[in-house]
Amino acid sequence: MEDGLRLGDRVFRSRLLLGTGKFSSAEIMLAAVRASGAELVTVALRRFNRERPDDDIRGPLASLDGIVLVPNTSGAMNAREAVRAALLGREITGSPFVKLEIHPNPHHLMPDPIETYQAALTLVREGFFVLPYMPADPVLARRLEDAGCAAVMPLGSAIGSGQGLATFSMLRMIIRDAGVPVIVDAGLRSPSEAAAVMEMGGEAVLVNSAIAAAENPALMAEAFATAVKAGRQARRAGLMPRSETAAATSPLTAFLAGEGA
Amino acid sequence: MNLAVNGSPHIHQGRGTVVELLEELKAVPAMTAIMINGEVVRRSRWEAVRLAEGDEVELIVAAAGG
Repeated sequence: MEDGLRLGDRVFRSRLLLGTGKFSSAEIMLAAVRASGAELVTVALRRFNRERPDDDIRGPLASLDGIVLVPNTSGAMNAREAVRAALLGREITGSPFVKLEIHPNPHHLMPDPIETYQAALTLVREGFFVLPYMPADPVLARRLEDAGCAAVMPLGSAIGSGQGLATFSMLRMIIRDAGVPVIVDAGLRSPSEAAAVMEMGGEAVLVNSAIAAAENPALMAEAFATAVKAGRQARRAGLMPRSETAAATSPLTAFLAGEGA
Repeated sequence: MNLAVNGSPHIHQGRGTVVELLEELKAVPAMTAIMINGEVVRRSRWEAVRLAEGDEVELIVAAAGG
């Protein structure tokens, strides 16, 4: 596949990963996944509830072809709980991927870097392709890469905040130094931000709230897919260098004052 | 057999296999993970494992999430 996204031992065509939370119905979520062209889709875990079997999202998702589920460890307060959640997620989905997320404070949902690193070490040893949600910290990104993670997923801004790329300059440093794919996760609001990530060399973006909370989620999913594609193409095409001064695109000789007939 | 399933008391009528318990609770085996007394039980061990009186069972499924 030309220009595929390599994660673990897989290659994906789509560079847009989708979260399934916050959609107003399963039908709207499915329409958004289809419109996004996403091949990697995250799910959370919850206790089985015999009174509410419809909460189980695997049923609806089974109707989609070519989707790889990425169970997350949301709700884990520490490394031990995250490892347990990852093992449960693997049992349910059969997926080798796990979105490792440990954010104990519900007020800001910032990932705990120490617990995340500890859990990553264990999960890599257990054979997972670990996709850690992390603060936009280049030092931690390197540590997680060295731990054997399949990618790093620094945040653009707080989960669900729609504050966009508040960490722009840190993301640029992470992307410049990373030896594994950088997937910007969390906080994105508009497709132009996704395009900006791709233009600066991000390998993919993970979007949920920006699509789920849009007035028309399927249309927004398509818009993000288009933006991700455009940003990636721009990156591959190579942006022109910046100049301190203007550089004319047309001849500057005054055509009226010229020699003429 | 008295169990605690997802934090609530449950009287199991069968022989204590994982599959029997899931059928009893109308959980779909292919979509459910099980933890017994805090340990995740891999699918490959479902046949071998027997529940015992007083076991704490957690049944986990996939849900919407980002």
